Amino acid sequence: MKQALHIFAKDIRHFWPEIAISVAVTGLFAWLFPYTWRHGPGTTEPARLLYQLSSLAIVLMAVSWWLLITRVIQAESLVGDRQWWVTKPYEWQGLLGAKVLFIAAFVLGPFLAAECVLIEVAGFHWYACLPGLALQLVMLFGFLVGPLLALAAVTSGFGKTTLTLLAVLVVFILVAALGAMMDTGSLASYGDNAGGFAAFLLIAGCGGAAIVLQYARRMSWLSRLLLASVWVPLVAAMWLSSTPQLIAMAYPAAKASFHVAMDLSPGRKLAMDAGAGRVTVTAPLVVTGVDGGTAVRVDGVRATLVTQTGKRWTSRWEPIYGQLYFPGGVRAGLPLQVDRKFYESAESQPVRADLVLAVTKLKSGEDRVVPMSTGEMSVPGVGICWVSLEWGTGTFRATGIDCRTPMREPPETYVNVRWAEVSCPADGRDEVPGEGMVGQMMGDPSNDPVQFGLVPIWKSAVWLESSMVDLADQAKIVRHSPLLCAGTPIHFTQYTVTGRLRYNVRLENFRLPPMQGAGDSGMTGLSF
Amino acid sequence: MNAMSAGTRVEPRGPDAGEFVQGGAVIRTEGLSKRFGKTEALTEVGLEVPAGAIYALVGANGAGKTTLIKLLMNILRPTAGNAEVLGIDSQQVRGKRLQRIGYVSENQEFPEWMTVGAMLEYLRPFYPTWDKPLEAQLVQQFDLPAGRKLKQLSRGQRMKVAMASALAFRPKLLVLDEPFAGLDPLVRDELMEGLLDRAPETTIFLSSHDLSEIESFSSHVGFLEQGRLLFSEEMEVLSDRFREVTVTLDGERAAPGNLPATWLQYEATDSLVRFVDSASRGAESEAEVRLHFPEAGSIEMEAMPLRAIFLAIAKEKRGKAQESAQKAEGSRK
Repeated sequence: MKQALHIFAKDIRHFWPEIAISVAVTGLFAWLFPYTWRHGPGTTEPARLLYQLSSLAIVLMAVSWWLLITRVIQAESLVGDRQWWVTKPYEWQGLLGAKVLFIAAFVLGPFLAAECVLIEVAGFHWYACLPGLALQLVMLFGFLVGPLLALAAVTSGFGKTTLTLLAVLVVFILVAALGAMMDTGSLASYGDNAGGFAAFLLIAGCGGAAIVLQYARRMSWLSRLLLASVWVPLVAAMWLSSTPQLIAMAYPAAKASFHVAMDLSPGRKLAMDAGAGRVTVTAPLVVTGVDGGTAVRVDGVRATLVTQTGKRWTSRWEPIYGQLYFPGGVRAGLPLQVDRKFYESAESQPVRADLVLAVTKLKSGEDRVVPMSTGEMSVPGVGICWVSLEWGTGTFRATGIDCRTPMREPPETYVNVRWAEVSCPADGRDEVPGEGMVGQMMGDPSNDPVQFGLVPIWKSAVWLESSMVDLADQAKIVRHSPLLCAGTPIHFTQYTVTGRLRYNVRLENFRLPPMQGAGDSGMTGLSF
Repeated sequence: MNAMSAGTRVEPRGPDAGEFVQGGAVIRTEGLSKRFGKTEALTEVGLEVPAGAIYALVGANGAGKTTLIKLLMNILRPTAGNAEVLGIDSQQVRGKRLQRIGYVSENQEFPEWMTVGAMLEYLRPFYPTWDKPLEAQLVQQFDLPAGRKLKQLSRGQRMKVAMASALAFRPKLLVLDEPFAGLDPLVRDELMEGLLDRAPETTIFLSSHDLSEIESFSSHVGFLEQGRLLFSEEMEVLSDRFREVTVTLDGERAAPGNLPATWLQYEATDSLVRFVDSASRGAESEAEVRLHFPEAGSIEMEAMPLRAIFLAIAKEKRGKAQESAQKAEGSRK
């Protein structure tokens, strides 16, 4: 420990300019980041500029860390045979301890301080977020700082580290491109962060082993091999996670209490939007039988289309967003990605569709009611929310609700409020006569106290729309630019995952809408 | 099996172990080899450096001197064989075990940003035996500018700083890799003086490609050529062993057959025979010469300078190597 402190003190003397730059950039980040929630309609031009600069500050902060970590690690370079220090009585534990202490003091420390300040500025208390803050530092070390440390430890100079980092990025891009080429489809939400946790263990494990090996024995090639080997299971996992078999395992076949069917009632029909190689067909569905106090979310779909002539086409697993069905009967439009060539050959013919839906079952939690305020509203379990506005028809109109939360996004939340058509009623009225307006906040489905990122405050948005209303009110399903009135109760209902299943739907004997020309949107009556 | 047998690793015996083990050898290597890809940098080197010696490892540039030193200092790992330094397997020479070993090399990368004073101050806590008055004395003796950064120093000054930092903790072993290379004579003398002042308490192992610079003060010498150690022995024994023999013949003579293998660089004219006796034993050797040359008039046996000894050995070895290469070539054909 004594030796670690001695080396640490030397590094401070040597790298004070780099430390000053890094701390200043972290301070800049802490100053600029609140503009991510302070800007909006009506904010001044400088505030808007500062908001845009806040993203740049995050990048600058990461770059300053990379500079600082590489410089301090390579002050006692572990690669090569000419270093002065290798013939001095350095204990590897002391040296590594000094470097970790340095990173803790001048990378993680200032970042933690900036996070605490930001949490306070955002209207929360840092001490209430301590578990999340601690976990975020662990993740930051495992995913970013540790790998940078390992990279600096197995390369011999700043230039080489930079080139290696660029090479890693190129490999990453190539792997992603390869993944896209081999893409058999994927669903974003089924993993429940298990994949992320496994990746953390893998990266932190291999990185940690490479660091210890390099510091204890200076076996550069073995350490490099260890770091390079991280790619193999990562790429394999990436590829495996998108296989239909794995998705089928995550969504087992099970009996469902709800019912999904094609809805070709008056006013509803199939819609299409032709893209370059694909055509998006929106199938009108009706979902009934969802139990009270629960909801059903569609995470993905795999469609098999069969023409009357027997021609068949099966899609890959396609992720679906924003399809949340509640009790009482819900109309929905399910987008299906269809190969354009198949579509052209099957156009205007009777077609049968066999859909496999990957469904997550949700259970509703407590309904939290908060009166609408023109300022900020504190919503228990969600965070601090405010109405997002948009300029239109001579006035600001509400488009939704924005919320900020510390350390992570809130759990999946359903928002329900009533709007006024023309003007708000006089003060003192609890509710306004108007239509129900709903929105879904796509939150983080996990129960983790933190999400990985370089920010302590997460912003979530609810786009309020009236697209999903009771079946009895189907005549009034039109989009609005609503007027929210002060005092109007806003209902926030959070949902937790209770299970997953595969659900099969057969849509019999329908015709694909005709295309109106290549590249044309070809919309043919989307009516909800 | 002997602890030094090839392939076995000698376990460390604590920081103070080893000084009196293995017959008092401070450095001992056996079958030590190092290969870089297809290049054999060092081939089965076996040597011993006794405690208190000033051992000079000499050889041309590229002979493998630096490689051998880096293996001893655990900067490189051997491909085969093993080495002991202060009774410790060289692959265990790190951390606290370096508190008794000083190392100075001509091609070390120094912390250029540090001042001379800051560097010495920084190193001080690493060595429990650091002698601050000795440090001050060395700074004065080498005329070191304490406030100047290392990057602002000349090559000679940097070597002096390195030497001061290696001497100030009174090491048991001082390993110097070409410490005098490229230095002007004044700096070289200053360094040698500083070194020799500390010699009684330290075993010194140094490499050099310049025989003249080590001849005057080395007690032992080893000669490396193309990665092979041609010999390694005490300087005095070496000087006694080698004699340049000149035999003046009276009249015609028949060419003698079966010359001793220890006679190197044999040259003969009608009236004169000259060779280097690499195993001279005084009168005994003279009698042996007379046995081969009964017609000898006078026999002169002169002591040789180190340089001449090295040249004789090197030429002999090269000749033998060429001969065996030619034989191998012939047998292939």
